Amino acid sequence: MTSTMSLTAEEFHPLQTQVEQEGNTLLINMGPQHPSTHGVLRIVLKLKGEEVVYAEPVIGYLHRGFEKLAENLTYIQIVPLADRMDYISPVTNELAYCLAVEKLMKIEVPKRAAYLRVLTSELQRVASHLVWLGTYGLDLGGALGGGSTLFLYCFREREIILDLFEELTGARMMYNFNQIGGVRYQPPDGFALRVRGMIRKLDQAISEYQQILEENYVFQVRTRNIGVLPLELGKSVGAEGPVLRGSGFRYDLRKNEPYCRYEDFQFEIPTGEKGDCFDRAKVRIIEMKESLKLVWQALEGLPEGAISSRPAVRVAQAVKPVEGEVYARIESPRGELGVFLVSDGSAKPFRLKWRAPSFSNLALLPHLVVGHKLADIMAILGSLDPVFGEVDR
Amino acid sequence: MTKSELAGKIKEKFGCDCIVNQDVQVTVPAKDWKSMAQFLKDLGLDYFSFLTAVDKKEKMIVLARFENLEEKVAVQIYCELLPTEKLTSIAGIYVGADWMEREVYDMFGIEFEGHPNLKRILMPEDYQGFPLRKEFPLDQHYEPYR
Repeated sequence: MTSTMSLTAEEFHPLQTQVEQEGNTLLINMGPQHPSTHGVLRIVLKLKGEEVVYAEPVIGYLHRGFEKLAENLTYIQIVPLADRMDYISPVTNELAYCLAVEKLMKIEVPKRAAYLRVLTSELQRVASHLVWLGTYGLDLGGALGGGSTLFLYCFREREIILDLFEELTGARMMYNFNQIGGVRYQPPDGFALRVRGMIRKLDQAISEYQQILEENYVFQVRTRNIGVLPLELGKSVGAEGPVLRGSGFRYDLRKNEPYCRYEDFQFEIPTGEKGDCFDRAKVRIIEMKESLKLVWQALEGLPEGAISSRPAVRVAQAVKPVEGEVYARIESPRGELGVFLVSDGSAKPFRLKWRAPSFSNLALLPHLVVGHKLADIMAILGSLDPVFGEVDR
Repeated sequence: MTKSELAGKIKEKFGCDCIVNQDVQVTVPAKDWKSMAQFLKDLGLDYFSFLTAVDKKEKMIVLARFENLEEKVAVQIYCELLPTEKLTSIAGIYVGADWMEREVYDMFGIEFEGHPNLKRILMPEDYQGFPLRKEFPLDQHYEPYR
């Protein structure tokens, strides 16, 4: 646990000497440019020998003022902006935002659109977890098959999914696929066939990676009993998703509070036992397989019909919800992604709060690293899977 | 514990009326903010979801959301403040409030008394002004402009 210790203004200053001896502790600035911080994160560390006694993450390097911008854009203009929050899984961000506006305006979404939303969210979850798995391999270093091997494997598989997204939406990353009232694009001819081919291939590949990792001695030593998260602390901080499930808590919004007709689908929620890095890794790997099952079911059950209950809106002023406030949330690959929206009845939101799972998960870092070795910080940070577009907004 | 039971308990303890729809919503005076958070945590709402603020120009509204994930009960507590007023920190009760209160301070300039480390979190430390206040225009550069 962190003590009540905090840094003096002098210690906190980024131009402070990188290494400073004071008593028995050593002050070190880790980042903001560091190969394994998954973006721009600076951690001010106090070390005793190689053991961390205090850590303070410094965030905000990627702050783009999303919430302020959103107050000055119309409801439709925000959808592509929401893509750029968590850039590893854009589709789920749009979905959360669209669900919030739909909830406020009481818009029903056609069944086909809901199924297409499930299909894309789950494809995105696999792609996002593959990025995590690849970079986690890099974080842990060369012992996992020569450093970048796992990384390249994972990016190769992710490429297949991105190709499918390109076919569906025309874009590889910032899709703008969801719109208020449904989705934008019908799947092209033969799409289902190619998705099924992808599922067969990935299911096999993921089993292989699971074997490579979980039976790997070095991986076990680096992750077992490292960064153990007690459930109580996780809840008090507001940790979500695979991080909380890794601590043995079976909670998933797709099951506990189904949206987009998730109640029609059969899937399991994996949980860990201890809440260490190994459990969090295991949960994510099994989740990928469950997501592939969901994609398969969404294809099987995909009904015919309209994909949007509103016409494609060309006049941006057309969306004007009534006065009120709403909180909508989804299970993004990183956890509960919530959108708190306050409307004053005009064409622009009065206030949009982005309750980002990465932000809450990253807030755990100073509590988890204390008492561990410096090199374990990367293992712990990687297992929380933060995306800095979302942390800093 | 159902939502209406919870609303009854809050009414009994604090004398505030709750709005019960999808969640339980209750407005508390600033002096009860911290004791309300402690009361809810003791009732089993141990999951901290978020804390944020809304600038209504003549007043600030700070709101926080707590949940009990097992029983699917969520409470949102609201507090109305003047833009210059301070609020008591709940970082000692819910650990997650630490960063969220810093964010509200950073964006709205609302100070939290008793916070262990209240400083800017997303904006640089030497930044002037509070960006999410309504009076803060988008088309103007603020010092220090980098």
